[in-house]
Amino acid sequence: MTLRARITRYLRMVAKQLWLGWRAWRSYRASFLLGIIGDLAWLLFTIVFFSSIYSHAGDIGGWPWADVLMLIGTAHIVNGLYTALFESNIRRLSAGVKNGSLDRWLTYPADVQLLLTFGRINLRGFLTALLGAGITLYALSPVVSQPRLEAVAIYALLLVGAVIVRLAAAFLIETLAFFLVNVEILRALQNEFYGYATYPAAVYPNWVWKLAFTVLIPVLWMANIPAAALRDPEIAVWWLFFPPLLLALSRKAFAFALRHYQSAGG
Amino acid sequence: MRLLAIVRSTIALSWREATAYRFNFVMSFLVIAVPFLLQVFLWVAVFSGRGQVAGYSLSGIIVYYVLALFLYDFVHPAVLYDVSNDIKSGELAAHLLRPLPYPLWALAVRLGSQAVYLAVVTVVVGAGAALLSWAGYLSVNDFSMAGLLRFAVMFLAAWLLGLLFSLAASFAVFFTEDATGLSKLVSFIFPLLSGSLIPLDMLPGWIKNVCHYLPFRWLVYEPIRVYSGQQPLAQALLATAGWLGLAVALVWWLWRAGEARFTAVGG
Repeated sequence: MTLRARITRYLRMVAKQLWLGWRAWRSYRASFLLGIIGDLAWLLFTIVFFSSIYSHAGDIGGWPWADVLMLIGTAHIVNGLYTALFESNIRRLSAGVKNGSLDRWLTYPADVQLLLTFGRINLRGFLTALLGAGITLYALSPVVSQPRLEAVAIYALLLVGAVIVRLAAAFLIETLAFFLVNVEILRALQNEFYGYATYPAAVYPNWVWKLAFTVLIPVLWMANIPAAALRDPEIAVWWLFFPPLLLALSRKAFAFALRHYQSAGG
Repeated sequence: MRLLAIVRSTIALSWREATAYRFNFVMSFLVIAVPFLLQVFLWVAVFSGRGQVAGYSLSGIIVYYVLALFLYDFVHPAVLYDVSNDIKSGELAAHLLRPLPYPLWALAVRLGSQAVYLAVVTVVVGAGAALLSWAGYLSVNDFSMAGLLRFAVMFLAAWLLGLLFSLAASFAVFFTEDATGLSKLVSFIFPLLSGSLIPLDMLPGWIKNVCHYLPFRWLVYEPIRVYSGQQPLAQALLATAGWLGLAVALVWWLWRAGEARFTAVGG
């Protein structure tokens, strides 16, 4: 198959998934609208929370309001893209291990991790990302700050990297289902951590904490690392090595777990 | 007396069920401790170079969050999924044959399972406060015994009020069939309007005004003010009792109206 034909095929698949996402929205309108209201409320409350602090204290660890606004916007973009593309898909792994339906996936003539990663598209996630983009653009507007073009390019690359980091970290958690069966508490813990993505890196007391919350629990990846590109692109660009590394680690862990897999299906 | 024995047995059974899943039990420590640590880091950064922010000292705000953390999971109104499932699946029919009124049974089950969590939270929050004292963010003098006793009284009242709101939200299933929306809505607004996200006196004026007319502040913000002596205990108890009366009336009305509508097909 030629490259052009392959690209066309993939674009058709994406278009089909978007169509299915649209149909799902039409079927579950109330739930979808409620989700949007929740996202809006969460965004509003995050802004109210930080603006209340800024109205009483001029800065947080030397970070001005515009930079925190940038973190809020960035965290929403990353969270939105992850929710739209991957969240509901990769949960099929732990569910599959638990109820035995993973066996079916293993019979397909394709990369199982890839199959479990892509599939359903959640349109609500795109709206969240759009809201985040709006806030980011506002924070980036000339009135607030004016970054260089290459800084914006590195920021965009690190945004993609952040989504990959979140995906790989989530896949590692889901892979633990092979050994623990129930990973809901770990998933809840991980999501709880990401709720703190909007906290500026300056709040972490020293480099050990910063490193731990970048590499072990990648909370700083969800907003601070991409946003750092706009402040200091020359240093931030070095972080681009991490997402592929974590993705490779998640693949290794998945392959290892599969070797020890015993079906629970009937 | 017999009723009391049934309630006691229900609580004991719920305790055993909650401690059966040990991994989840241990992980629940981390779910509480690590996010709280991040909140402490944030406020340390906010207070960097400042003695006071909005009338709070650093140790004052950390004590506030220690107590808010302690309260949150007990007073947070939410749909009780076992109750909503009983209603949706028709299993409520079996409960109606039992000698204990269903609302009382549901409250006893929740109290039992939360009693386990209360033990976990007390240990984690106590250990956390000790660690914070060791790290120099708090001192033992920041906790007064009289304040803690006043807080314990308010905690019990707020716990009961939160449970009654949860029961009322769960009985909404009689009328809507799916209370997920209501549950989500409350979980979105509660942290801000109760004062668990940030003390209410630090919020902009218009939100403070809204909070004044809602019951949520009596679940987190006011119990902490009672602890610090900014709110007299008697006055706070009176106000909470008023909301408790309203909550009981609401639960009872929803239960009676829901019971009248309830139908189940057995098999």
